[in-house]
Amino acid sequence: MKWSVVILVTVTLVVIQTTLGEIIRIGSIRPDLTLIFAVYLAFSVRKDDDAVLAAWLVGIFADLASIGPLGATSLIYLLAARLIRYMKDMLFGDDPFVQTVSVLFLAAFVHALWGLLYWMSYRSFSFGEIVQRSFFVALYSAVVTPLLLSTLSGIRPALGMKRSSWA
Amino acid sequence: MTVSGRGDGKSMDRSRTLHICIVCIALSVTLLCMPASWRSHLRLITLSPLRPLHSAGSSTAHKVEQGTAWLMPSTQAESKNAMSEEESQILKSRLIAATEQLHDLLEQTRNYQLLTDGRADLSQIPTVGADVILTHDPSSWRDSLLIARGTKDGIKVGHPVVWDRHLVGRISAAGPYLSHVELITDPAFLSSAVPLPEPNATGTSDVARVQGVYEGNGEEGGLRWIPRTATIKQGWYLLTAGDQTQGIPSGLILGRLTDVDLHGFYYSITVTPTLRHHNLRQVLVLLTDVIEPPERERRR
Repeated sequence: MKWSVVILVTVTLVVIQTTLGEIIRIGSIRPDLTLIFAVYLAFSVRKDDDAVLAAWLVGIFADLASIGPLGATSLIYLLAARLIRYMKDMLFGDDPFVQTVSVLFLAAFVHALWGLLYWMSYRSFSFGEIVQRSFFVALYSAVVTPLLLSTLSGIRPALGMKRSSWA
Repeated sequence: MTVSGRGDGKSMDRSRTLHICIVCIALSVTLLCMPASWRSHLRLITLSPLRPLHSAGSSTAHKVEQGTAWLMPSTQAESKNAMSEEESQILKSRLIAATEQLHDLLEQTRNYQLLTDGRADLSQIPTVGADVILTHDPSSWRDSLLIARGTKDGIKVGHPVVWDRHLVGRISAAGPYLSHVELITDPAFLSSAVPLPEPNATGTSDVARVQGVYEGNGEEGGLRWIPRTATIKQGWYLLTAGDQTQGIPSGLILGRLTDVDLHGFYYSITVTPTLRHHNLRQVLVLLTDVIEPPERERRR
């Protein structure tokens, strides 16, 4: 595992998400690129501890660029990575379809959780909006996942990982 | 022996993973529990390396413009030759039409200025221009900008951020060189606001102005606490009502009322910003006198 490359890819994804939002958005919906990368790392890294640490690191960088509570995204990504590692064998390894479905469910869950937290704090949007926006962010993220996975599979050696069976 | 060796290895791996999890969770919880001012300071200092990246990008764009400047004379000469008499006639007629349109717009602006009574007079307020580094928040629920100015330039938490006569947002965190702007569409943004009636032919209006509370919802905004007895129409502009404690001047444009419904005793009003905040490259920070919010409130 080459941590410097992991950090570089994470920073690139955060910069894309925070500067090219107008290009990649559909309506007000943007894909969660950092979550896709965290899921990819959770599936692809050989060691459990590296996978968990990498997901946490991705979350920290996402936290840094946001005005939300610092540390919350990293905590959620860490728990998501732990869950993926726990269920990896049941989910047929690191198949891209499985990763896409995982992104769909995790993005829906994470964004709905965030929505609920902000709804409790500010009450400026309805419950229906939380469900709707979380669903569309998850769907868009899932659509983008195969594209990002194919790009990431090309830099697997640079990340210090072996080529996957499907790549 | 081999089996037990493998088992030992696996259990060691598990305990190592568990330890890393505990350390990471402890770090995340520590960050979450930190005082807001420490958190924002830490965040903006860590993001400081992004500042030169932006200036490098701007200078590259400038160099590209300079580099391609020599192409311009020949291009202009070619286009001059290619322009026929007929084309110049069409352009002349277009120019006349555009001038008429400009006169109409100037008239409308004059009426609009009459209505605002020149209240959004920013000329007396010291300002700092800032380049926008990050135009979006990674979270789909928050709306923020990262600007390349900080406390070293006199910026404080709570300072209003504007673009022309439009209110962009408010400084939510200020580091030495960078600051985070909480946009008017962010759910944490609140401000008192006044819907501005459309002027009649004389540039005035008989409709009484009512004050409500504007708040963002992550995408656009909403206006609350306007009683049903008030006259409100779709398409009206929404202006800030002025807030001494938050240092927000009155008369700044927040957006237009796009959806007006009655909901019980109050109106339910959707406000769409007239400015696309995420396309901004530069903003102005108004260095107004603000009363810094207490730590407990800033935790939001």
